[in-house]
Amino acid sequence: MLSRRAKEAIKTGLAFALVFAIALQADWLNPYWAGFAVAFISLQTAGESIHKGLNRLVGTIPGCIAAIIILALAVQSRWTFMLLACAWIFFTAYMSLRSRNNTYLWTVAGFVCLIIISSGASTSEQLFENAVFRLLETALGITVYTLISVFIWPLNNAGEIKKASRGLMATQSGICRAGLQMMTGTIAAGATPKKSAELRQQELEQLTRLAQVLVAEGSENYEVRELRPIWDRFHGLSTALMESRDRWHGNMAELVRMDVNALLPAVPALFDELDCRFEEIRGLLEGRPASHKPNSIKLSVDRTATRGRSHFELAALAVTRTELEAMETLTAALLDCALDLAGQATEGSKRQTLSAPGTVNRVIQLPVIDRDYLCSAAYAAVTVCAGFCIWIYINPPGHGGWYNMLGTLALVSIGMLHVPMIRFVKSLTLAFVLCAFVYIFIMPRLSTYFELGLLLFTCIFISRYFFSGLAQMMASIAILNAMPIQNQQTYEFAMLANKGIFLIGVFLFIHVLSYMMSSPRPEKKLLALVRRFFRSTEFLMSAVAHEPGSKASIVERWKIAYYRHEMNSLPGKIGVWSKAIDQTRFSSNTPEQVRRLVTTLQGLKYRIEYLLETRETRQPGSFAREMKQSVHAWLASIESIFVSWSDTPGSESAVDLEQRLLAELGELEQRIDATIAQVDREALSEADGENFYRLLGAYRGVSEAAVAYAGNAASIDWAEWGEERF
Amino acid sequence: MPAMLLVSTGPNGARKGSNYEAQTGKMNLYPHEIAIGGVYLPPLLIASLLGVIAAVVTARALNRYRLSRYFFYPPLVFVAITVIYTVLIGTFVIRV
Repeated sequence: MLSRRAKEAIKTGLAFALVFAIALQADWLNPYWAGFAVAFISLQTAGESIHKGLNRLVGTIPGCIAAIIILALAVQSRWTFMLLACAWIFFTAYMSLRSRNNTYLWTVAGFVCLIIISSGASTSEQLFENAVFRLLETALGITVYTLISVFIWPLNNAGEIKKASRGLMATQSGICRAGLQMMTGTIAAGATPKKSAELRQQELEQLTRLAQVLVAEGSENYEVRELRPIWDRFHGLSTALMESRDRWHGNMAELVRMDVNALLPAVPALFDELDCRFEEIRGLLEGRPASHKPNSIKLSVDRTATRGRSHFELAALAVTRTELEAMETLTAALLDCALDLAGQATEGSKRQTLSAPGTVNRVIQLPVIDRDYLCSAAYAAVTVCAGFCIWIYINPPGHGGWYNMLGTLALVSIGMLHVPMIRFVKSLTLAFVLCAFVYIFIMPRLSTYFELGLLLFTCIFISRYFFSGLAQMMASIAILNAMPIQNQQTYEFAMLANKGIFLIGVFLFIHVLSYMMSSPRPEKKLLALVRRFFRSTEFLMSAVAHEPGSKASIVERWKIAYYRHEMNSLPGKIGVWSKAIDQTRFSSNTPEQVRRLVTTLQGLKYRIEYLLETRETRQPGSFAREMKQSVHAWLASIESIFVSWSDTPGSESAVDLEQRLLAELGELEQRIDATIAQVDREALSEADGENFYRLLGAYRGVSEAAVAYAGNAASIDWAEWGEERF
Repeated sequence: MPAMLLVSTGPNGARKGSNYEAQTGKMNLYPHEIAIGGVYLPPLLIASLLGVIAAVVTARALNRYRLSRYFFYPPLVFVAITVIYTVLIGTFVIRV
């Protein structure tokens, strides 16, 4: 019995040999274009391959059109030609980074344009012919591979979405239950941090997996494609639930000191209901009929139990209540989705919008540009420009291929800049040398296509069966470059040697260029990102100082939206770059410490985001005035801390910081007491009081998150990461 | 450098004896290509390859003794060291 790996290798090898047979038989231009299509769209399952293949095919069309336009406009002017090509690469690179589902489409649109303009067409007819052949052979490769993957040992994603969703629900249920146990003191807070961290990591992986299988299964199954909006909603609700739950967990330090069951008597009932809902969703996704009728649970605070509590404890309670109610709303919406997906939605079940109390104002109104995407796109354009100058002024082996190949590599690498390009060189060199032996010693002895087909099949089979990941990709590049196949086949050692030097030279050159993006120095990039994070938080905290609801100019609102986007996106980017740091060179900071750093930044992000949302809610006038004066000192203090961290991320001691912030919050509490004594209690509605405590909880939350970061930052050896090294 | 690998092209491209150095015992002061298995490689290529190797060794040594922290931007220093080594090798070892 053949293994799955062997079957996949046979399928790819067969498709590869077949497309060459068809292209050679039909005497098409550059048969290896079809081979490239097969080599780069073959993935684990049919759905993933079809999706990638469609992206490649659709992306080829704008790429060809752009190439024709560029050559039509600037065929006689080399610098206009270069500028137009760079502009197109900049645009496609930015779009590929922004796009969530069609990244590959934009990447293909970029590099196909470079391939067509460097294909050596001397007349407009020839140029059009090249573009058509590129499209035709790409379509051929995709069609042949799709047919083979569908008819021979088909491996599809049927049921993968439901399986991934069930797993996600089980994990989210487990984390919620563990949170309740911590909150009510059944288990000590921090008693099982490792298990908790593992569960959260598992939840993130499951969310990513769900997004992947939604694309893969959606590409091979019409019914899934029809239900895609509901599945997307399910994914969005699960993500919102994760965020809401993380914000609830952020108050745990305060909550464990209180008797939550007494303060919020409905908490046990709420969690029982949540458990039932998670179980019901899993059942529905398994195909069981609906058996649970959701009950809406309202969390009301027992006023008698709140007596004697400090304002900050009441504030933490208000935040917790908000987030628990958000979780209740989100799980109800998830159940609604599951009923819809199972075809058991009733008339009474109403579709709720994604925005729950915790996520009310999270949508950014103004379009913001991602700075890293912009820099990456500029880097891709500069790379093409550098390749063009190398061709014009030096003209080394490879000639016009320099800007084409450099541009292609830049487009592919901008999505994974944390992987240094030098890692590719070793695999590529080895694969190229092996393929060169085949080209020199075996290929000249072949006389029929059957023999050549067998050789191509064997080469691809070996690359797929014995290698994986990076080595497999490099093997495909080496096979297609070191074993060029044409209808009028000729053999030339100089061409092969020049191609080898060119390929390795291009990889080395782009490695040098990638220093612009700090690609080979992830520790420096991490430091820069952490500094940027604190610059963003500092700006946002200064924005908090403004009068809520006051009219801000468009520029100011855009700046707030920009820094908010920065703050929200940076912890994720820091997480990615932190994994690329070489532990053998920077051994002082363990991966666990780095992971905790990312978690504390994430926590700070949630707290500031919550503060920004809460300050927009209506506040009672007298309290708002008093709060503004009282909070001013606290804001100035927290801003100065963020300024200091934006310069030196580990500069504040956690103990000093905690004392400083607690002293300021203590003063704030005294002033609140004085204000409450002055204002007419009767004039305050329950909603006003609730809003006030939520705002107070938000301030407290930011302080706690800052102290948590300082505690973690103190254990990190920042100097080691900052030290210059080769 | 083994004599069998050397082919001197002389100042005006005129081919000289491949075993000039062995016969005279003096260093050939003219640029000469390096032949490996019949493939002629330019001397600059060999000099630059040796320059890169020497620079890698130097960089590792500087890292090992924590001397690299005194540089403002080590990647640029690496390029500079490579160029220096290439020029030195091209001047004193393999004429380019």
